[in-house]
Amino acid sequence: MSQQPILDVQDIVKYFPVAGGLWSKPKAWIKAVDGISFQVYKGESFGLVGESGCGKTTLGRTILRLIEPTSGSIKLNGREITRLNQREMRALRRDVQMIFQDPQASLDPRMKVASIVTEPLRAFQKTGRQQLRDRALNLLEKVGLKADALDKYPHAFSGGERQRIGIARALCLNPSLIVADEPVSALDMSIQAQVLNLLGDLKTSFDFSSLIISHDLSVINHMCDRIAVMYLGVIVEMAPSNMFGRIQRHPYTAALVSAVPTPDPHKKQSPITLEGEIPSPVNPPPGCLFHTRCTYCFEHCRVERPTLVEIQAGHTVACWLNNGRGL
Amino acid sequence: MNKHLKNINFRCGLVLTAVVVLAAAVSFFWTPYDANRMDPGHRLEAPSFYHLLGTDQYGRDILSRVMVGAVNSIFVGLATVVIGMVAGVVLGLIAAYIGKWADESIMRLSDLLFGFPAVLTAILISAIWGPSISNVMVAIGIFYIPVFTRLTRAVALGIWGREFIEAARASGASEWAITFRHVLPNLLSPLIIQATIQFAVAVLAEAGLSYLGLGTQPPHASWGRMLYEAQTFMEISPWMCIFPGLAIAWTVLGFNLLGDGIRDNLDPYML
Repeated sequence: MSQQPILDVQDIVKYFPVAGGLWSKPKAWIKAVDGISFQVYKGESFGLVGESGCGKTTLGRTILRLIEPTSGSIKLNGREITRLNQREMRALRRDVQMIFQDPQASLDPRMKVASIVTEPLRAFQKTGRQQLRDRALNLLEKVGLKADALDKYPHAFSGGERQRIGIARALCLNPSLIVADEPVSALDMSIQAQVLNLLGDLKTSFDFSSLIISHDLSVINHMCDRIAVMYLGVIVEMAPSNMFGRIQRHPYTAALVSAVPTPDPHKKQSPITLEGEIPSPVNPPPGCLFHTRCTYCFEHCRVERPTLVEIQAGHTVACWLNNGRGL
Repeated sequence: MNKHLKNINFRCGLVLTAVVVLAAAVSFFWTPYDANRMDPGHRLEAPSFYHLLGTDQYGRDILSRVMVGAVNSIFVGLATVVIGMVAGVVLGLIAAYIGKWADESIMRLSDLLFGFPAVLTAILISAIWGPSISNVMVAIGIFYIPVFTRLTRAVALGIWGREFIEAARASGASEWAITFRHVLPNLLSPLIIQATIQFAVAVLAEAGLSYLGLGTQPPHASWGRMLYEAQTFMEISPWMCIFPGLAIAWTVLGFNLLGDGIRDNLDPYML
């Protein structure tokens, strides 16, 4: 793995206003993403995992500027994109594509598959009809769909096939980065495996880097080289996936990992159950964001928010337990 | 068989409207009698071999007048729907896309226009430019603008919020491309339905305005005008009002069925 980041995110922040009255200022801010930094390197699969509402989807869309970030910097292939105007940003999309969660919603019901998968191509260059069809055919073949899919509408396909169409669309321009937001969570178990394997194969043949967002730790673990765990708008732990199964230094990660079911029915499982709900991002707790649910919480956790500290090469944790100050 | 023709609504609608359009087209070259020629010797005659649909109080042939009136009705229907739809869709899309001040001003303006009765608009325009059929078209057309603006805005707002729009944007499609490739095609169904309804309403409105003396001027024929003239003679010669009335019903039904059929044929779920 070379050390040139395709995507370099620094201190990205996204606050959504909670509307006050008609003309008054916003009453409060939802801190969906609250200062996140990470890099995705060339050829790498970077996984972002966290429970619902932790801001991972917002983060994914902010990176593509489908949502404007409140502050922070995003560099794509070394180029700062947060200050690009719409036109410049559009030109950049050639290189970074997205796979959406719900293939039912993300495909236009009134567009034929041939047009859907070649939409990125048509957005960037004038292409003849026959060339478009050839390209569409080629893409469909790559994702394992038959040629007769070309002239059908999305509703004629099953969920898994629709997601394949969505993947074909993302691959159309041979992008260097693909952001996949919960690429399989709308599919049932058996199809999930197929689609994940397909994504893995395509990654080898198309040679793209990917940012995979999911709530499912087993999906992320299977797909990614490095994993970041998000909680309430911040990253609490980041580690290479081969280290992940064995050591977790953050209590939240430990709870997540222990909750993943194992296929062995005789193995006794004792998941760590977290007390309470995820706090509201409108009014996050002071100090460590996780302290309200953490069993190891002590005085200092309630006062100061821990920052990510590298405890091993490539393994960073934001927890006072690991900073040498607590324990 | 062509897949469009499989749809029963489409087929019936096509036949019904084809008859009306054909009758209108033929009337340019040939009608059984001159539609405006009076014949005092054959007044209020019942349908017969010589006058298939009878004659009116001046002895004019009703079949000829119904044929000539068809031209009128089709033009009024088409012109008003085109005026209303083009302006309304553009305004509605602008309101939905820009939002804020544009949305607010366009919608309030269309409320204003909507609150103004069509008949009053027609009278106003007639007062300025004089009574004529083209002014009636403009009046009804203007009255249709807010109808289409509201529909377009409401539906477009929903479409702009859907995920496939975001997906298109992420693909790199420009806002124009998104509007033309995604928003408009998804707007089509409700627009076609509305257009066929408004077409039918326009035929009736023209009849109503001609009845008030604002539309087609005598001696020219229009279905509304014929109904108006027929009402005095309803009891002694009912054919005078039955046939123009039937023509209106026929046309309205035909266009409604055609619209339903087109909508079904464009709906990917129905194929």
